[in-house]
This record gives sequence, C-alpha cells and structure tokens, in this order.
Amino acid sequence: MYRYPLLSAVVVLFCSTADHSAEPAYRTDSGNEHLPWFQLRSGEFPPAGSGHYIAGELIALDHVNRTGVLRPDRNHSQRTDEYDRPLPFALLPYGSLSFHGAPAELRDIPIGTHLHGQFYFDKKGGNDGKGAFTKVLRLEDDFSFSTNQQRLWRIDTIALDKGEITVTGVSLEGNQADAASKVYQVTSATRVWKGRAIGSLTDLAIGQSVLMNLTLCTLKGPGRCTDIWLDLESRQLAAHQQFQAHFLYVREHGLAAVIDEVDNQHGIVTATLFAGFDFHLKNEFPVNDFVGAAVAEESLRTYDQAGDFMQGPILEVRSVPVVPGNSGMQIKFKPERLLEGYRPKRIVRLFSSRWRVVELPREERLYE
Amino acid sequence: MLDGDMRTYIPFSVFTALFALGPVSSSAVEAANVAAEFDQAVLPFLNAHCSRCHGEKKQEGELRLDTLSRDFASGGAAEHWSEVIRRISSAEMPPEDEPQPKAEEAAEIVEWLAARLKEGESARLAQRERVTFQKLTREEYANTIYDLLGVHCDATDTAGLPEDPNWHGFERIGSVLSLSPAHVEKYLALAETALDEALPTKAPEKVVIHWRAADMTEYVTGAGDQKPRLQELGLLDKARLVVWPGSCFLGQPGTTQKLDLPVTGDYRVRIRLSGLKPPGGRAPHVVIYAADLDRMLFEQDVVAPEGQPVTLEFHAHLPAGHHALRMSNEAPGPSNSPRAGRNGSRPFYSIKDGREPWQTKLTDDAGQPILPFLIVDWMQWEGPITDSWPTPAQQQYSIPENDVLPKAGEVLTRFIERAFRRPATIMDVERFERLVDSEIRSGEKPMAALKTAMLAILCSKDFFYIVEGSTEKNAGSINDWELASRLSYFLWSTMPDAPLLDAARSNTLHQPETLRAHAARMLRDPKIHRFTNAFPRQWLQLRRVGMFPPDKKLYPDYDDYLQTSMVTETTEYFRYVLEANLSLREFLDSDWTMLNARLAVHYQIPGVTDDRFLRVALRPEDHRGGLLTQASVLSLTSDGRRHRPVHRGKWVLESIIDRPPPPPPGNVKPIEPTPVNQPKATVRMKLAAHQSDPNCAACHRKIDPIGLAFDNYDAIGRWRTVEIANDGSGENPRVDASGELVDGRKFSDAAELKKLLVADLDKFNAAFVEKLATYALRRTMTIDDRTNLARLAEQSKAADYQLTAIIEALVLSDLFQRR
Repeated sequence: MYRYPLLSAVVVLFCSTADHSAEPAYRTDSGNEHLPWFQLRSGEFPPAGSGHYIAGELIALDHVNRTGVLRPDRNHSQRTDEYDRPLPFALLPYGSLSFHGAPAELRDIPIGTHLHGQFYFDKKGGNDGKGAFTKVLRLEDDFSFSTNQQRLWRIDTIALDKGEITVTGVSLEGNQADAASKVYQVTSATRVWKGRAIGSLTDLAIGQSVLMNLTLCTLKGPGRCTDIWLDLESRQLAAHQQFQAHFLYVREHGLAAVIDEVDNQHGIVTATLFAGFDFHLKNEFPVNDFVGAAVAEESLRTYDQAGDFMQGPILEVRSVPVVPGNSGMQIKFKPERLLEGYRPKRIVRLFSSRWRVVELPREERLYE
Repeated sequence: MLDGDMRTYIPFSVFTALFALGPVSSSAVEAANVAAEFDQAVLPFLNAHCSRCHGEKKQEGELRLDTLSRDFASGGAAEHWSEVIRRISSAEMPPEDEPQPKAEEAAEIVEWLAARLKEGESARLAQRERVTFQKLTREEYANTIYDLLGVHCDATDTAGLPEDPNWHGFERIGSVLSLSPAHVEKYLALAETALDEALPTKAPEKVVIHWRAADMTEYVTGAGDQKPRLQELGLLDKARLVVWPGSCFLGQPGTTQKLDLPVTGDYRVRIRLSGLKPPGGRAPHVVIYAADLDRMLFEQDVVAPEGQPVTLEFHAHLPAGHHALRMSNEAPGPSNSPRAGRNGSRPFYSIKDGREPWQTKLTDDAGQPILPFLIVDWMQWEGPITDSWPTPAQQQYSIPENDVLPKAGEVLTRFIERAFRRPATIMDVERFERLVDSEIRSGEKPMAALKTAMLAILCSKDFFYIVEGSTEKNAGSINDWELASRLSYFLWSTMPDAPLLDAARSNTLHQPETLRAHAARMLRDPKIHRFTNAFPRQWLQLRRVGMFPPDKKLYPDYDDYLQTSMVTETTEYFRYVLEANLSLREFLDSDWTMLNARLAVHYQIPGVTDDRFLRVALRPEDHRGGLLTQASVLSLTSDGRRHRPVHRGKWVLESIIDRPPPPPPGNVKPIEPTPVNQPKATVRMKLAAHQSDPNCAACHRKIDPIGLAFDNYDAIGRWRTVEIANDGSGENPRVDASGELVDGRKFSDAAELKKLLVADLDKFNAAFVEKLATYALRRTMTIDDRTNLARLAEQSKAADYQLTAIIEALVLSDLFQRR
C-alpha cells in the first residue's frame, strides 16, 4: 500500500486511539473504501482515527498563517500523472506539529523535511475546487514519527563510496525487525549527531540503532538523510532543544484554546486547550491565578495580543475527554471584560499570568 | 423645638419699658431687644472670662470688648465679634491658665453671637438707598432679551456672561450681584449679536448640513480612506455608526466633530438612530454637547430596535462660526482606555455582520445587547429656523428710509418702555434720537442707525438693572411699573409682558384684585417653569450637586445623566406641588415622587421605563418621599467619597428650619481612618469619638442627630442598611440612623424624623416663607421684615400651607410692594 513497508504497519498505530468497537460511518485508511471521508464540523474535534495518513516533503510554508505545501510521497493508489503533485494544506486550529520529538510550529520545520501527517478531506479544497485532503490535524518529522512508534533504524551496511546506507526498522531494544530493509542516501551534507557533539559519516557503524530525518524521498529513491542521530544522548539533546523552542514560542504566543461557553451575564468564559503543547505547561494555569485571553482567528493569529488581551482569575480547571486536537484541559475564567471574539467555537490564545504578553512582530499581527 | 430661642429669655420689663415709649419702629424695638439680651446673656460671660485682658484696664491684642459696638449690622464691629466667636469656639480663649467656662456655656455665647452676626449681615445686604439697582442674573438677562427681541441669547455659554455669585444658594440678591468690566464688555457683545439676529439686513440663507454615519467619522468606513471603495460597492450609505458607552462618535472619548454654521440662529437638529438596551439594564443615552460653548445641546435615553431606528429632533440656538461637538453615549460601561474600547478597521452594517473580535462585546450570540449602545444612521442640522419674515422684531421696530426721525422717536419710545420696564421719558427718547440722527449724518442707513440706538439702550443701566425708587423722594413702596417688574422677575425671571405693562400704565396693577388676577394668570403661563426650576435650585442650593464629583471607583454607576436626573427630580417635584396646589407638607414627606427611568434604576424602584419625569407612587419599602430623601439633597453635602452627616444636618437646619448653626471653629481635626487591626466603623461611630470634646458636642448635639438620621443613604443617595467602610477589618457595620432632637423627641430613622418635622410644620412654613420672600424680593430678610413674614406664615397656615396660596399671599402682601 505504501512506498515504505514500515508505514503500512504503523498507520494503525498512528491512529491507535480509534474506536474500533463499531464500524464508523465514514471511510478510514483501514476501513470501508466505499464510504465518504469524514467531514470536519466547525467547532468540534474529529473522532479518533477519522483522518487520512499522507506523508510527503514540505516544499513551501507560511508559518504565520500555518499553511504550507507538501509534495506527497508516491504510492500505488496514485495515477502516474498525479505523482508529485503539490498538495497545499492548512493546519486545523487544533492541528499540531512535532519536530525532533517535541512540540513544534511550522516555523521550526526546514523546507525539504519529510513529514507524516493526518489529513482531512475538504470538499472545496484542492486546486480544482473538487475537494482534497487539505486540512491537517497532525504533522511529524521522521524523528518524531519513529519516536512515537518506538522504532529505530538499525544500520545493516555502509557504502560511503556510493553514498548509501542500508537500514532495517527495529524496536528500541533492537528486535522486532522489519521484514525488509531500506536503502537511504548519505552525502557530505548529511549531519551526523553523536553525543552532545557533531560527528561525521565515519562515525556510522554497522549495527548502530539510529534515527534519521529524510528529504527527497520521492524523486531520488527512498530518500536522502539530512540528519542522523547515532545515540540516545544526541536524540535527547535534539528533543531538548526543540522543547526549549516550544516553551519560548508558547510563552510569547500563548496556548490556543476553543471557547466552549460564555456566561454573558456574569462575564465568565469556559475554554478547552488544544492539544500539541508539552503537558508540563498545564501546571502554569492553577485555579485563582490569572489568565490572559487574546482573541485569535483559525490561523491562531492574534490581532495585537499585547494591546487587546483581557485578564482575569481562573475559576476552575477540569479534565475533559481527550480526543484528537483536544488537550483534555478545560479552563473557566472571568476576564475583566468580555470581547466580541469571546463566543462559543471561537479561538483564543491563553496566557499564564507567569508569562509576559509581548508584542509580536508586525507580520504576525492581524491588527492594522 | 429644634433649638433654643434666645428671645424667650428677655425679661418682660424690657418689653413694657420699650412699649411705654410710644410708637417706635420695629427695628428700634429689635435693637433694644438685642441690647437687653446682650446684657443678660453675653455680658456676664465677658465679665467673667474676657474683661481682665480685654477690658478697661488692659487691651491685649488691642481688643477691648466692653466698648466694642453691639451694632452687629456694622461691618467693623461684626469682624471683631466674628473673631471673638472663632477664639471661643476653638477653645483658644480664655487661655489655659485662666478659669475655663463650661462647654455648654461657651456654646450658648457662640450661638447667640453668631445669630446676631447673621442678622447683621442680612441687614447690611438689605440696606436700601433712595434708588436701588438690582442687576439681572444672566438667566434673567437672556430671558429678557428673548422676550424683548424674539431671539435667543446665549448668555450662559462660556463666551456669555460670568457666572452669578450666590448668597446661601440665592443667585439674585441685588447687593451680591456686582457689575464688573467683563459684564460691560459682554453686554455690548451679546446685545450686538441679538440685534443683528433680530433685525437682519436680509433674510438669512437657510442651510442643511447632513452627515451620514460615514461622514461623521472615518472609523465608520474603517481604517484609511475606504469611502470610494464602499461607494463603488453601494455600501457607503449602509454603514452605521456604533456608539458604545462612554465612546464619542469620533472613536476616542473627548474627540469632537466640527460644525460650521454660517449665521447665528435657531437650528433644527435631527438624528436617526437605534438604541439597544440590555434586558433589565440601562438604556443607551445619547448626548450632544458643544464643547466650545460648554453647553449640553441635547440628551435623551434611546430605545429603538436595530431594524427600526427612530428620528429624534431638537432645536438649538447657536452662534455663527466653528463649533466643536462631542456626541456620545453616556450610559455607564467599561472603560474605553484599553484597545477594546476603540473603533475598528471594518465598517459596521449590522449586529449579525458583527464587529471586530477584539472590541468590547456588545451583544450575545442571539444578538441581544449586553451593554447599552446606539447605532447612528445620520444627523442633520437645518437652519436658521425663523417663525416669520420679517422677524417679529422687524415688525415692531422698523423705520422708513425717509422722514426717519419722527418714526424713530415712536419706535424708540416703545422700545425704551419695554426695555427699561417703565415709561420712556422725553429725555430718554431725545437722547437716543440724537444718536440715530448722528449715525444717519455720518452715513449710516436708517435701520443701522436705529440699531445703534437700540444697542445703546440695551447697554444702559436701566436695562440690565432692575431699578426701584426715585432720587426725588424716599418712597416707602414701589410704583406699578416697579411692581410689574418685581412680579415678572419673581415668577417668570423676565421682563413684564404686555398685560402687565398695560396694568402698570393704567396704574391699576397694585389693586388687589388686579394683582391677584395677574398672579393667577402668570402661575398658569408656561413661563412659570422658570420659577419652578430656579427657585428650588436656589432655595435648596442644588448647584452644589456634583460639586465634588463622586469617586468613579467607589460609585461607578454615577454619571452626568444621573446627576442631571437627581436635580430634575427635585425641580419637577416642586413644579408638581405648585401645579397641583399641594401643601408644604409634601416637601417634608410624601408617598410619591417624580422619576425617570434613570433615577428609578438608582432608587431600585421597578416599573419606570419612561425617559420623562412622571409622578410615581412610592411604597414604604422604597424609603423615599419628600425632598429630604431625594438623591439631589442627599448627595449635595457629600465630599465625593462618603456621606457627611454633619453637613447634612447643617443643610437641614439652614434650608428647612432656617436656623443655621454657628460656623465651626478653625481647628477641627479631621476624622482619622480606622486602623487595620480594628473593626470597621461607621462614620457615625467615628463622629461619636470625634465629639468627645465638650467644645464640639454642644453644637453637634443639634446638628448631628438630624444628619445621622439619613445614614441609610450613601453619598449619592442610594438606600443601604450596611455602611461600607474602607478602613479597619471585619464585617461592614450596620447603619444606625436613630437619634434624638434637642427637645428630647426620639426617632429611629429618616422616615420617623420626617414625621417629626411634619409635626413641626409651622417651623418649616416660617422658613419656607422667608426663603420665598428672599427669592422674590432679591434681598435678605431683616429684623424689619419679621412682622410681615410672620403674617405671611399665618396666611399660609390658614390656607393649609398650599403653595399657590402662599405665593399669592406674598404677591399681595405689604412686604412684596414695600421698598
């Protein structure tokens, strides 16, 4: 089914939270092909397993508006004239990314990075307006994807003169090997990460369990390695760096949430935080502490958050069922005043009182 | 009895001795009374405590009291006695090393001297020369110009006349109203403007200035100049202007819209708008204010659905030139200082279409308003509006191009008689005729020459002064012309109308039946609203309402419209009592009041939705009724942060009972805040500690219980049972409004105090009659007036204290017709 034999196995895992107790009324990657794809509903999170897996290479991005273009990997379901046709996409408001095993923003992902994603069909999407998988719930680089699947690549052969290595997918313990091995290109531009330092291709050794990020997966065979992490320490360092970028971004941009309810009479707002942030940040919103809320659009852009956010005490923090896009954390707060954008199904960026709400660069602001 | 009456101490022998001397004037009798009282009440105190250092042998500080004049009407002696009061009441005198008087003893002396000083002051202010000149107030000046020329005069604008000084609230006391160089300059400018408008050289060209919402502010069409784009899309006329609370049409509070008017005149202003009122909340309140004139042009609550806007109309008299208008929604709402209170960059078409998401939320998801807001479509200024052409003044005061002087003489005679409110003398006419002649000789056209003479007349003292008396004889009473003016300025605050002048001309006005008929006619005339508006304001000192604006943090609901509504309740209440010919009792207690929706919200009285003031029946649980529990009266004594029981008590003694307490000593310590570690305390509790000083207690015993009776009302007149204390710790204390009058009668709250006051109605009757006479006669009442005032009070009582009867009795009294 897929160009990468591994993926056919892991797609099910990727959608592991799907409720298989009853046949869904929509088509899934492993379900009835005659049913229509799931259609997103405004203000609602989609059910688990309702998305469609697409992998490909990021060839363009607009990090401010959370949109981009993917060159999908070729697969057997495609006609040849569909090969490599660019797929414009937009991250759903509750859509999230992972890079180097940590939460990320589109701005963190280099052009050319090979990504794995969960997509939703938009009836009006695509260049011809006839519909396409343009709405993205989740995007991950190979590093994150493999990490989430608890898989590594075992180096079987090294042919630096040919610029190739042969690898086989294995578990973290080095067993449960894939049935088939893969050949990837390595070049003098391939970054090799060893411990807390940068290494070289000569540090590769047969039998090593590594993680890789890839590019040019479609055009040049199985793909070219941009980065290879040789050991656990190097992988932890990469994740740590990305976590720091994530924390910094969140503190400056807030956490996105959807408004569930507004009590206009008493000026109380209830909102559910979107998924995609590090769970440690949940501790930044204790009851009775203050929270700031800046109105955002579906792109998660705010107008002028430093000028228009409203603050107020957190009245209640409660857990709600976790579904794709939903963090499972709901906050009830009382801002100093209600804003027009504080309406059910609308989006806000929430700021812990421990963060300083800063002015964003002009290109990120919607306020003229 | 609310306080002691010193006259009861005068020995009978003094009276018999005085009357044995034969007929003497009442002032002579009073002077003898005062001397006797002084010897009995004050002299022993002075001998015991003062004379050793301020007597025959020794005059410390160059002050000798045994020879100090006891003529309290004399300014020099009054100053010295005033200083004596200050020193004794502040316990500076006698010095610590001298024998000390009892506090009650010192208080009695202070009170007696203060009462005599007040009488002396009144006598000085009421002193009459052969001819008295009493300047028109600026309100009277404007009314007189209108009735004389048929044009409005903006005398109360910032460019108009200076504010009139007042004496205990009364703004028309002749001896207080002085003439400054600024007045002369303004009289000239105002008269010139009025004459130009009344006698224009050509018919004024009418203008119509129409502002669409998009013309009022750039924010209607969004940031930048989007007008061409919206015009192209056919949307420009559909854009509407949202005005949320506190916001001005131009976006930021305090900004203004420029209006250019080519000529001075009356303008008809129309505005089409919707007013969205939250369920159970306040209505939006449109305010149109001319900042350059410091004049409120229009204000009104507006309730009209989004899809069914209403067109409001009003008239305003405006001078030619540029005006800075501020138009806003003065309903209370959140602050507009953060971003959320600003205009956005997208045009507003409908609630459904929505607004900027970062703006303050105005509606819920069903489109129901959360805050009161206006949606304005357009505004139009049209004018000048003229009732007729030629103007009424042109019809009365025109002269031909030829053979000017004979006709000018006729016109001037008529004009002078009306302007001076007396017959024009030959000298008057000749003086102004010469002016016309001189102008024509220097090349002016006849009408321009006549206008110059009319200008000179309007700048004459006989116009802006009410002149009474004659240099030739010391008349004891006024003539019919003076009576016409006195009556007209009393009830209408303007010049006499034609019937009054006719009666004066025929010398019949002073006849009781004629005078009664004119008074009755005037009470029925719409112009009586000037009296029902001005008299209660001055008597009750309502100009003090809002003098210390309430703290916005402590009283966020207080706004200008509430303040206006508070005062209007009182004036409308007075109007109703007069129109319905009710008793003075209604001023002390009643089961009704006059409310609009704004004030009803303030009083938490349900069911009042009209923006107009209407009679509303009160229930006991409303805790209102009469003047004393109206928000205007309750708030005029506050300092902006808290109620002031002592000031409330003093106000009641002064305005209702006419027994003002002596002035406080100069060294009164302020009330200290309650320490954080001590329980919260009411102002009453703090005052009790404050009054432990026996020097204070003697006076405060009379003042405080009356003021504390209104402790159930906060600084802006809201009912409460618990007093919010900002300092100290623990629960806010409950209000205790109980008290005891000096005569021993007890009450538990304001309602019971009001009943005690009603039981003492004759005291209020006497006080009211004196206040009314002060207003009518434009002077303070003196000892000489006591007999007449007492007679009037008796007449009032005989008529069951009906207000109309009291006014009629005053007009027909000797007092009213006496100089």
